[in-house]
Amino acid sequence: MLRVTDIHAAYGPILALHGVSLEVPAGSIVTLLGANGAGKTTTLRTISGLMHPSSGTIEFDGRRIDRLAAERIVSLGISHVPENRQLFAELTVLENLRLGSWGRRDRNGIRDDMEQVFQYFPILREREKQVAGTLSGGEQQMLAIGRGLMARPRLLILDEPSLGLAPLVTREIFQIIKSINDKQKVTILLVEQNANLALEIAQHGYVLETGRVALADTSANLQRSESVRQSYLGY
Amino acid sequence: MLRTAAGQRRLAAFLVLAFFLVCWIPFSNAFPGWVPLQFGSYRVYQATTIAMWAIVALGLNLLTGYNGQISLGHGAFVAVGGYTSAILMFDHGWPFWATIPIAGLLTGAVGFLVGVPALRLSGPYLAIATLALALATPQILQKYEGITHGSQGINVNSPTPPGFLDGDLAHWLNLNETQYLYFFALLAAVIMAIIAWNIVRSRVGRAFVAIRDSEIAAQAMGISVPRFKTMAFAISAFFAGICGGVYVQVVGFVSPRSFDVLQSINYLTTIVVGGLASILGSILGAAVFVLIPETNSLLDQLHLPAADQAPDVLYGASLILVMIFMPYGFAGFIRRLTRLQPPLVMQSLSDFFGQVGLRVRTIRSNPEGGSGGAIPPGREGPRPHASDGKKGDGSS
Amino acid sequence: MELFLQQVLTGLATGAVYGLVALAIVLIYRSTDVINFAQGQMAMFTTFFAWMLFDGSFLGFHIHPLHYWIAFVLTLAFAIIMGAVLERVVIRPVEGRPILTIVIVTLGLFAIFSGLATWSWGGTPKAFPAPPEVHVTGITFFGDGALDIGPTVISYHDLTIMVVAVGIMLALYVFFQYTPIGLAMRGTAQNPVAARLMGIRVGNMLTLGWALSAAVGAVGGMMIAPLVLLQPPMMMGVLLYAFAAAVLGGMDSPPGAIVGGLILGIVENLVGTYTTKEYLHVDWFGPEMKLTAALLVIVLVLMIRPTGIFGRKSLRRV
Repeated sequence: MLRVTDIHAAYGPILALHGVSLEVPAGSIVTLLGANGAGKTTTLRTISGLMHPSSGTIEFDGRRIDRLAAERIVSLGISHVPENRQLFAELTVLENLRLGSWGRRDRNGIRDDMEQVFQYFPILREREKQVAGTLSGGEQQMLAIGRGLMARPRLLILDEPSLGLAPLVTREIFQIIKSINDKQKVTILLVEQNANLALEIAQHGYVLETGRVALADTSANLQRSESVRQSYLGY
Repeated sequence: MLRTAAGQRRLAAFLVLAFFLVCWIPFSNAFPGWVPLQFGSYRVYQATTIAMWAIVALGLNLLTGYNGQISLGHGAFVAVGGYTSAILMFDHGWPFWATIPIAGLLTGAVGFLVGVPALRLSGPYLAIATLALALATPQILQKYEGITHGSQGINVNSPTPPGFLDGDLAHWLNLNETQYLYFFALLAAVIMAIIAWNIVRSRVGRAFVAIRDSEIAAQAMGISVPRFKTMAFAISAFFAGICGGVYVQVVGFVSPRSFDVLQSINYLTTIVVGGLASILGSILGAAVFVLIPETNSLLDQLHLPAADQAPDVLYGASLILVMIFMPYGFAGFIRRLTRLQPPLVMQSLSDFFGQVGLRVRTIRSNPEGGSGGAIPPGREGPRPHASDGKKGDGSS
Repeated sequence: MELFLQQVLTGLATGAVYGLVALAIVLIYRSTDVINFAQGQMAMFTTFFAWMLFDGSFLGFHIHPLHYWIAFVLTLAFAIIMGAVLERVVIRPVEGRPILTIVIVTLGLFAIFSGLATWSWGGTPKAFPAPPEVHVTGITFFGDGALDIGPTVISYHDLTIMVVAVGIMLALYVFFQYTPIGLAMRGTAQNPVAARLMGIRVGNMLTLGWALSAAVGAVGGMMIAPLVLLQPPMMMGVLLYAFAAAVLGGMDSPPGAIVGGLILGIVENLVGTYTTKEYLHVDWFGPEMKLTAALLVIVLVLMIRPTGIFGRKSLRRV
């Protein structure tokens, strides 16, 4: 579904990605691992259109998207849940969700999707009218994911959903991510530092190191590989 | 010569001397009647205005450009300086050269007093509060006539050239009043520029910039934020006070109407157009500002219709165009050109041109090693390119 | 007591105008962090446009002078278009630049509008009409008369100003709270990056912000013009008070802008009345210091609440 081919990306004079390539097959969960500063978030930003690669191509369903604006890419079916959630902090939970469905015209579909989000995250229904900035970290992450789902995406990109969350909450969220993939057939590209959990739910994985793909394999193989275990899994 | 600090000082001294000598020619009577080897009194007056304007611009740039505190009220400080000098001369008979440092110091003290409550304010709140100060100044000056002589203002005698400049010694040492005042203002401006340059290159200057870029980080590094922020106000007011003192000498008259709010706003325009956080920028900005009305006479010669209101429209259009094409001011533009220069030249002139480009330059001189793991998580280097936000925060 | 109430009421009316212009300023500031110094002159310019419609001399052509409210609505439309065009043509090229750079651009606009207005319509003050009388079920609205409220009298025009201000506020409130576009604008102001990820065209939101701001400013101009006569520098005093009001109420708070304006209007009037020699027997303060007094109020409030009465301290991630 998504094919990234040899992209280079830079922030001004700093080169962040030196030829990254990856593929996300439809219906799968693919995870992107790596240490801080390896280029994971940069990769996601080029995919969702917040930045443009200086060279290389990105194709979504065979169509090139690397030169499109972020607003346009959303309408093609890619939803990016950014690092640190980036909620609309002064708007309510409901308003955040509503903005997630911006640009959609199908009122019934939107209503159904919101119902679905509340089923995944019942606590959000309770806190419907609460201002997003006052939610706990876990609730904020749930809201961010829910907001991303409101676009009814075909590809959901998640950037470090576990950041700053307690282990139990993280587990819960990861289980929900898995069921989003199972039940709704939403393809998921997951960037994570918590490699353990990520590899558990993903089918394929890529490991980035200083802007390059160091490893690419099925998650089962990655979990078994010595280098991955030592560097990222901690055992 | 540029490699050592001593060498740099010698170069600087040489440049300053050369500058004065070069100035002497057109601004004196050394070559009477030889245009452009002698400027007429209008031009001389313009140059004098540029010099005065540069003084307050230097001060304001220290506060706003280097320290990040926006002040729309510097006209008030200039007024304090001007009135101090005038009152000392008129009511107490002080000689002019003594009043100017006092004007500066007194205004500096006032600046400090303003800086203390300013600690609580930031951004637009500080800007409007200082604007309020500028607005209130004419009313206050008018009201307390006991000290300020109210709306009739104060007249002082401009300093006249001392005897030896009468041409008795040599005809090229002859200076008339206007020219004398020009050199007087020029001397003041050069002194203030040197002071400003030294402040910028010192610990104080670095503290200013650190506070501007991140108060919290600066505090964490042990910089006392309140101390330096109030210091910035005080120093910047000192500059404005000196400018006020010089102004009174040059113009010979001061009244509440001399300091209207538009003046204060213009000071800010000057430093943004010239270049924030830049010594050269302050001077360039002053020059540009005083010379912009020249474009009107250009237009007159082109015989365009309704040139009556052209000044305003032209001025506005020029401002906008300058900001579109030179968003970091003239100095910023020059800085971009000089990036093509070899690093050594850059290093020694960098403080003169300004601080803003410093970050990018450092990273560039360290291509591979500077990035990668050194960038902390969540903040991937300098602001990304995509115009993704109106607020300054670029982290995603 | 009557005098006090009287001054308060009149102060509310002028305060409502300050509040409207302050609202226009806050609308732009909220979405772009830019202080629009040209707000007053934009309002003045659009008011001149309205005057042309009333006068029957549109762009040099003779037209039938239009009814007040028709011209009012047409002027609003003009203001909306003007604001949108300004954002696209003048502000867009400098987006993403340092804030002060954009502020200087607004100063440039200030000069341009001043010059254009003087060039187009001259500097002599012109009379500008107040909304005309309307009789509904025996009660007269608007017009030149005055209404008795207990011991005080309030002119119809002042009443109109307050009603219009409240009307605009309500309309904007409904717009921002209950419409999708209003919601999108609020979101964009808070987090432009996230807004893009929702598919919101941030640029369009900004254009809309400027358009609305210009419209609100136009209303302010049309409300105050009958009181101060229409001339190019007409809005200067109002603009300064409007800035003060915006800051007083909190630069990111639309209701704060209105409240700030009302407070300033009242303070200005009360100081003007009660500091004359009659009441205040001191030399060092008097009605000619009323601007200073108003500004002193602002500074004092800011000392207690540095981000204005309703302003929010923004949390910044370090």
